[in-house]
Amino acid sequence: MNKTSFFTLVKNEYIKIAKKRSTKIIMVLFVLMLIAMPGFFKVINLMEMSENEQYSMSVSGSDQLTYMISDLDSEDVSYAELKKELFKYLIDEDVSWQDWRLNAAQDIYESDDKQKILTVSIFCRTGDWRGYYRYAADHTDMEGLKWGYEYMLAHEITVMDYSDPTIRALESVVQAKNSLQFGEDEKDKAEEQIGLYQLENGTGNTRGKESLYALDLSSGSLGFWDIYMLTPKLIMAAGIVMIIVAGGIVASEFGQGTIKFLLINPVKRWKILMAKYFTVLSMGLGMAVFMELFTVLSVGAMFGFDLDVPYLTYSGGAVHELNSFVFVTRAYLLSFVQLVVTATLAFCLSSLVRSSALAIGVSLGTLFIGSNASAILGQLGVDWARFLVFSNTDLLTISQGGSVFPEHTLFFALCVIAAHMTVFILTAYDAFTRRSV
Amino acid sequence: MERQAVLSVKGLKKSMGRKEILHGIDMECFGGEVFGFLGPNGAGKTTTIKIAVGLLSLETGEVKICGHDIAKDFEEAMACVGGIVENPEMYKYMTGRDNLKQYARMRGITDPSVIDEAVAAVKLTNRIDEKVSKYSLGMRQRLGVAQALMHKPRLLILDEPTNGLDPQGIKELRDILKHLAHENGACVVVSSHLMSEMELMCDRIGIIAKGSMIGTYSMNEIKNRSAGDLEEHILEVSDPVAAAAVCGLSPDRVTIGEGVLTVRLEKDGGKAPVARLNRTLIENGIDLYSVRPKETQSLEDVFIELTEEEKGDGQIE
Ligand SMILES: Nc1ncnc2c1ncn2[C@@H]1O[C@H](COP(=O)(O)OP(=O)(O)OP(=O)(O)O)[C@@H](O)[C@H]1O
Ligand SMILES: [Mg+2]
Repeated sequence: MNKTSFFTLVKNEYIKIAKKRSTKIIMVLFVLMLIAMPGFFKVINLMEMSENEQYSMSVSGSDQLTYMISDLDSEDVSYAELKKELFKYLIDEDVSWQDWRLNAAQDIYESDDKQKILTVSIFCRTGDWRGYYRYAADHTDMEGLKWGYEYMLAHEITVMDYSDPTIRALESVVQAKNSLQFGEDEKDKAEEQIGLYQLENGTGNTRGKESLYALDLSSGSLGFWDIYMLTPKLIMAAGIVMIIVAGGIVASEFGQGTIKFLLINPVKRWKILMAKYFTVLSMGLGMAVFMELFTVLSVGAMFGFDLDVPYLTYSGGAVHELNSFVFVTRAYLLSFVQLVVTATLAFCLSSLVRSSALAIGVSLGTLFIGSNASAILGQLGVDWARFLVFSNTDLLTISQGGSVFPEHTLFFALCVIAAHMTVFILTAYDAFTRRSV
Repeated sequence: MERQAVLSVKGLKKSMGRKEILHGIDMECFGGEVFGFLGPNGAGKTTTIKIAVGLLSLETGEVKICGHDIAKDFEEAMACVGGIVENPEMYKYMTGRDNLKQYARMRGITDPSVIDEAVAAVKLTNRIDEKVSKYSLGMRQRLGVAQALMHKPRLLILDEPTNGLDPQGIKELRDILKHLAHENGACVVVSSHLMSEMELMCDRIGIIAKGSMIGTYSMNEIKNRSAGDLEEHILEVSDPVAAAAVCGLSPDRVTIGEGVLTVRLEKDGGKAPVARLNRTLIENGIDLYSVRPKETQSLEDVFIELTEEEKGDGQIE
């Protein structure tokens, strides 16, 4: 007798899934979402871009200065006349909103040091930016600002153009150094080091740690990576489809009564079960890969391809360069693990109950509530909660050291996940092979 | 030479919860015969069949199909089996053909004409490419039969296959099953509680009641058993009381009714006793309007008789 091959069983499962109308609807929605996501950002970007262009060309710093003058009028501020005099002068000069002098004006706006106001006024009137930077560096308590002025002096930066990545990197180093002044913090340290690395090595094409979820929509300067970096979040959509399939794949056979015809074939039950499980996993993985490829192409088509970009990480006291594709793919795979765990749970429930809706509902609920519940337990200091599966599924955060549980390593998380998966699969196996039909 | 049984069940017991519902079933079914598996509601027919095809776990006892023990060589045993258990549920969102393709792949059938043949046999060719959700009960039953016999199994087990079929469909199914058994040498096991249709279809029947096998009988045995050596005749006469007095039969062999007289005559006498009786009546001036033999005791009666003591007052257990 030639045995029914595993491949045949999987093929049958795929056909059953594909023939359902609900599957077709879900797939259409899925593809629409993949096109809509970059399209949405593209539209926003175009809108912001045209606005910003008008803004930077036509809008001078005078709006801001006029506003500051009216503010000085309405309140009782020391040396208001001196300040207003400078502001009016700058309006007459029509300085740009990115000009260093606007920065200086803001600097003295809050000051009540007459000497400082007079000195800065002179620097502005004479156009002596070096003098101003020198003076500002010498008169601030903030380490970050001091460092920033020195840097601008050394690199002759007089225009604060925030669409320029160098200026953004500079800004983030200044912020990080300011915070570090008040205590060591791993996150600030990383920010500082990555910023410095960017300044040192050319900044045009690098991405730092925080950029993964930080989208600056208002800048109008979204690029390939700003959008592409979002894809690890999108994988949730593939996960939900996978859970829906997993929750129905066994339970629906019982619900429809077709299980009798399925089991009357010359195939052992555990093989049928494993074929179903393999179908769920391979379909999820297939969708994830399809999503990744599709997003690269659609984002690339809309924002232009920009592929060879290093992603910077900070660990062990040094900054490392990683290819950004590798980084996103890794983030993507780590996010996928959570979905595999939840889909396995759905599969396990599916072989225990007769109702697909129940299996799907409970699993989706667990997916959405589970990790939040774990996080809350963690914050309440309930340490055993680290052994719960959903304390361990956000591998991306755990790998970045961001877990709420102390000393939470990736290895520990993987062990807990493996233990739970084993329990889920064995339960499904036991229930399915012994169940009366 | 001893024929090897295609389906052999020995000492099969099954409990569900605390209740034992099968108390040791033994039966053997052979190639070339249609075996009727009869029993009243709740007797355990479906349970026995489910165990035999692996839908329920086998606890005590042994089931062999084509010599393969289902506990040990499940896949080999199931490769010889086709069947329908209870309702013919298929994937409703697929066409009949897509459903059959699923089973064809599972059984390693690659030739598409096999499906066409099975469909033609159950006369479903015109509707096979429609979604099963649009099928009637009888059409689903036909699709189920096509599924069961598609791979030409040596053992075909059908649990109440005539359920939902029209008279034409029942007759066609009967012909298909007889053909498979008598021409192709397959062993066909059909469960039912409708005696009349079993009578037309089966070569042998096994009777089960309350989870025990009462016996296995060939159709001829049943027929003889139902007959006995006396044959009842109903005579329509002008004066039944006078007729009873003159007929010359002992009183326990005559029953007087309204305008009729029922008499029990020796069977081995052939038609002669009826002719003799007729003459006697005429000679005594009694008019005889008609004579008809009373329906011989049917399989139905044998079945009820056999299962009566088991069933008590007829309550479903
Ligand atoms: N899942 C179950 N749990 C408990 N008892 C069951 C179960 N299924 C069947 N039974 C019992 O087993 C006995 C035999 O049932 P079975 O379905 O085998 O009868 P059957 O001979 O097929 O009857 P029918 O002619 O009505 O189809 C019945 O008394 C029934 O109540
Ligand atoms: Mg039954």
